[in-house]
This record gives sequence, C-alpha cells and structure tokens, in this order.
Amino acid sequence: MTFTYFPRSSLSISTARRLLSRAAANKRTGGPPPGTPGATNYNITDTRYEVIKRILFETPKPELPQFTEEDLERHETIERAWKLYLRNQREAKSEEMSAKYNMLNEANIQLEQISKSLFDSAQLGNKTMLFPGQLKIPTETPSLSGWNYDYIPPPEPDPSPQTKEREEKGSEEAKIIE
Amino acid sequence: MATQPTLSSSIYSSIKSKQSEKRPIIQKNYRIVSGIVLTRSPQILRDLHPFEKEYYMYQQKLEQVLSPPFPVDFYFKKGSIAETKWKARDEQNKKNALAIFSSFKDNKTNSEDNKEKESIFKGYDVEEEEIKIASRITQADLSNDLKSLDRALQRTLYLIVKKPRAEHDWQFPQGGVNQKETLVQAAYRELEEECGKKMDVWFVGRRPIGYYKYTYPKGFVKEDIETRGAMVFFMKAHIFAGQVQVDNEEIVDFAWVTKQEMENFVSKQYYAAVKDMLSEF
Repeated sequence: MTFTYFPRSSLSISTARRLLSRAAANKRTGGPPPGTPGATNYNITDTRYEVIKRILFETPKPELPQFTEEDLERHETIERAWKLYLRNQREAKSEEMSAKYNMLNEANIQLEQISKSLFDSAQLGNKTMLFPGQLKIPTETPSLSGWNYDYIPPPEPDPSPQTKEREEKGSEEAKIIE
Repeated sequence: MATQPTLSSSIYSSIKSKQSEKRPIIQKNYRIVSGIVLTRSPQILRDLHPFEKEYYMYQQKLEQVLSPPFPVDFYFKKGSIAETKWKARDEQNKKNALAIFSSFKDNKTNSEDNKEKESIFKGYDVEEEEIKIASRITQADLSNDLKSLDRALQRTLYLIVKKPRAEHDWQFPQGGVNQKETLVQAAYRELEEECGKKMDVWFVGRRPIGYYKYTYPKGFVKEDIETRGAMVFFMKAHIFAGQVQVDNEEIVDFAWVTKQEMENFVSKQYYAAVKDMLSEF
C-alpha cells in the first residue's frame, strides 16, 4: 500500500484532493459490500472530512518574526548561561557523590581488616532484598495531614514452632539444674 | 501450631538479632560500635532558582512563537464562550511571547497583562471546586522547631541525639556490636534502645557507609580498662513515620537537623569525619 507523506501547508487543496483520491482508488477493497450487515457507511461528503483536510493541508505557515543581531546575541548568551548553570549543578552533585562513595569504600576496607565475620555478613546475605512501599517521591506540596507522628509498630509475629520448642527445652534444662 | 509467615517476619528476621549473650566485640583494644545515620528524605520538590524560573519562561515564549497555529474552528464551536476565552488567552500569550523580539517590544509589562486577563474572565461565573493545598512552608519552619519532622521539607534531615555529658554530647545514635551479631542487627537494636520503638525505620542494605575511629577522653568510664576507644561503623537508615522517644538514660535530647545545621551541634572533629556521608541538600 503506497503511502505518501503530505507535509502541512506545502500542497494546494486541488493537488491534495488528487493525491487523496488516487490513494483511495489504490486501496485494496476489503470488507463487506454496502447494504449487508457489518458494512459501515462512510459518507465522503461529510463536512468533518472537509474540515480535517483543510486543517491538515491548508494551514498557512506562520510568519516567524526575525531575530535581529541584538536578539541573537541575547539568545546565545542566555543559552550559554544556562549550560554553565547546568554544568555547575552537575559538578557539585558529582563531587558530593564521590565524597560519599569514598567514605563508603574506606569503611568497607577498614571493616575487612578489622573483622572477617562482620565483613562477610555485611557484603553477602539477603538476596531477596526488597524496597519498602513507604519510600516516597517528593511532591510539589506536602500532604494535608503532615508527618505521621502516631506510628504504632505492627505486633511481633508468633515465633515458629522450632524456636518455641527450643525455648521450652531451654526452660526445662534450667529447671533441672535448679 | 503452624503460624502464617507475615511480611514483617521475612524482612525483620534478618535484622532482629537473636536473644544471645551481650558480650561486646573488642578488636585491638577498640570497641566495635555501629552508628545510625537516620535520614528523613525531602518531602517536597526544591524551589526553583530565579535563573531557572526566568529561563523556563523564556523557553515557553520561544515555543509559543515557533509552534504551528492552533485550529480553533476544529476544537471550539463557533460563537461559544470557550472559544472566546481561548482566543483571549491565546492573544495574550502571543503578546507576551513576542516580547523576546526587540522589534515587537511594547511598553506594557507582564504584570499589567495579568491584570487584563483577570478583567476578561470576571464576566464568566465558572463554579470550580476549591482544592485544598498544604503550604510548602509549615508551622515548624516558622517556629524553627528542631524536633519537628515537618520542618525544612525540601531538605534532608538527620537525627542527632544528646548524651548526658559535657563534651562531645551531640552525635548520631550509636551502640556497641555484640558477639554473633551483624552490624545492621546491632544498629537496629541500638536505635530501638536509645530512641524508642515508635518509628518506622528501614535500613539501606547491610554495608556501612562511613567509619570513624576515636579514643575515649580521660576520665571516661570504661567497662574494660584496656579498651582505648571505639571504631564506629555508620549504617544508613530512612524514617517513614513516628518520632523519637527520649528515655533520659542514654539520651537526654534529640534534634532533626540539616547537614549545615549539624555543624552547630556536633564537635569539630566529629563533623569533619562525618560530613562527607551526608547530602548537601
């Protein structure tokens, strides 16, 4: 199926009509014939089609006001200032990040030298680490209720039967000793 | 009796330490301590820098000038109120936008244009639902309440606690690591002991983020005579809800401060050792 791209406002309505009709004629006729159930009724003389075609093909190109020398200089300066501002922001953030990383790295290196067990437990472990749902992204304005000061921690879950048995055994041993 | 494993048990079983003997870990005469950098992340977006505001307005005007014309008759019914409103607004936007070209500069300023806009729409009574929006500057900001978690909503706040002593009183909450305990478990336990259990806290992983070694000052009461000082490993944590509860035994006071404000509370050496872990903003 041929499809030609019509850029806006580059064609006159007559040529547009010609191209469109050609496209319509070349379109492979599929679907049920008119009159049978399922055949949708396309009325080509509908004014909405006219309006859409006019918008697509007849919108005149806006006359863009020209930049004078002074305007151009001003524009260039603004753009340069913005790029400089962004660069400063980026560099400051990068410095902050590298400082944090250096602290982290040094701490872990020291931990390795100090205690192997602590170091191993710090590096390896829980592979199913999840992030909590309460991690909130900052919004434009704060919530109407403000900070929730009345947090009640959820009740401790019941210990598994294994730990319960262990506790009972421990108390039994203590009784025997006594 | 089979118990249903709750989500809290799977998250906290790795954090909460077992009820084991409380023998502190001492390595090379320094006690191993885990400290907690408890952070309250920013709750709102930052205010725009004045240059940013101006630049974004400039870009809007450029876009207004360069964009193709809007098909008004397609979207608005001819003669409707919506069409009149749109046309008036569009005209105003175009006028404002053309100000960036020196050949079109009028004497009118933007404030005057806004007044004109208001007068156009006074005639139309549109009933709109009032949406309640909370202010970005809270009561805590105005009263400078350092214990409040509603203060400085754009900034990152860190918890510092005051110990009942004269020197080096303000610091991050910290406590010794016991045998058969990981750093995170010790941190969680110490935070609960010192600051109470009424906080929703989440520790970021198991790795320490900072390290600080110090010797005990003369006259400090030590359990073991040979320990010369402590090595603190800081663990990062986030608070989502709740507040610190002072027990008046280990800690007497607390404050939620920004990185810059912390300098006024903590000792110089401590701040120098700790500042790199903290966020600027």
